[in-house]
Amino acid sequence: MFGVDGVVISEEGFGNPDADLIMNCRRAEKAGVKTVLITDEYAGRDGASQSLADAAQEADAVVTAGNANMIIDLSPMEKVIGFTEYVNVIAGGFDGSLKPDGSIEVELQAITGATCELGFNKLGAETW
Amino acid sequence: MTYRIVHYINQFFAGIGGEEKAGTGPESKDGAIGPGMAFKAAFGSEAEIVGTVICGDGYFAENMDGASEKILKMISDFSPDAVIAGPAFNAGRYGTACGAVSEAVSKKLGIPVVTGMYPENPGVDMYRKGIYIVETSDSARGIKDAVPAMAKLIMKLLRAEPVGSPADEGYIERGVRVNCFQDKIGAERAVDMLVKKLKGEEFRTEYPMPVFDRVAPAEPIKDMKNAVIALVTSGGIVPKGNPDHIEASSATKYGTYSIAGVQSADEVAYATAHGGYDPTYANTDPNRVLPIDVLREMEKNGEFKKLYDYFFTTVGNGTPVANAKKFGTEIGARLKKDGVDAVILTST
Repeated sequence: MFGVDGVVISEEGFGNPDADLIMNCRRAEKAGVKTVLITDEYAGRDGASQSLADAAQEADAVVTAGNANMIIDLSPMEKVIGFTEYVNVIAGGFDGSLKPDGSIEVELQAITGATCELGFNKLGAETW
Repeated sequence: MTYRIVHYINQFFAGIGGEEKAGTGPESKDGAIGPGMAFKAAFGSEAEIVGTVICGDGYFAENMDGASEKILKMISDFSPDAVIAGPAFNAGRYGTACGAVSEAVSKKLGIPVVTGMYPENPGVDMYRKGIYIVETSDSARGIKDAVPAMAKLIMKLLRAEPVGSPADEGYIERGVRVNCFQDKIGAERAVDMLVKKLKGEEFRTEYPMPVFDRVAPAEPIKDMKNAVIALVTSGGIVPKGNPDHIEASSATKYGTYSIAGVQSADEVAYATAHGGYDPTYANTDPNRVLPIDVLREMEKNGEFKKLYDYFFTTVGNGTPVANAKKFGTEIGARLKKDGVDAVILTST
């Protein structure tokens, strides 16, 4: 309709949006429009899982914003603004995320936008 | 301190013989033998090969489980700090044996282990996910390069130093995704990639697509009146207070809860643990996600025989496929064992 040759498809979220991302990619490629996808990954804390909730052969050009399941350690802060009691139950937290010394062990996804699927930071991932 | 290392090799490298001796069973010798001498030189005074465990490739292939167990016992008798296996180069049965022994050492003894293979060795695909396999050439002529690379990697693991990328360390990709920082932001990388793709130039995706397994839907229920129906949800409905601490995202577990005698998933007893949607409507009436009320009505009207006494629940939110697959396999097996005919899966 727009007569475009190529399209960059970014994403918001994961899971169901992964299915949207892949379907949009497949349809665009079938219509002769070249695609590049920007997504993040949920490859598990160990990085060993497949990363998306859907996949397609046509998705041969993907930019990754990083594995959101990766564990990060946040040091205790002298001054805390807000509340820490939710750390164990927010998305990315788990039972025991908030340590007695005030440090926090969470998945990267606890920091909203850390794996930016609009491609606005330099975080990426590679296969080891 | 000098680390204690055990070396696993086959009958050929132990000097026992070729194919005619491949049926040789597991045996254990003190000190280094064959290629172990090269490792000994590479380790210097930092590590010592305290023993060598040998097994014929044919014997191993024909008695995999039993041989693994015997070999593991012989290895642990040396009280080693680490194990090296091979290198097996492109020898298929030897590679498979090295891989199997390495995996068993890693899983059951919990100590560092490194093996070496040519990338096309069938042992690579079978075992690379769980262990470090140093890339070698296809024949024993490559021993000169294989030994220092394997020795360097095992020493790193022993010293608990961080292991770098496959390219830096010389091991074969294990398929593990590791975060890194790129030179350019994602948007620029995407545009660069698109321009190359449009021009027909070579480009490299940052995430090669996995092969997805598709599950064919089961046959429809023919005799609904006699069917036992179960409820399974990824919408996170749990008994209030979330007794098993199922995570709001990236669930590492699922819950199994009895609903025997429960007529409705009311807001007093149930709530959602899900962190990926606005929980207001689910918490006001959890039946919206876990429709026990409607199913009880249908059960009473005889539309189906029985609502299964338990429901299974997890949070489908940022949950790795590997975890989800594990939950699904376990839940499916339990449902099958308990004679459940059909399942209503609710998601959010």
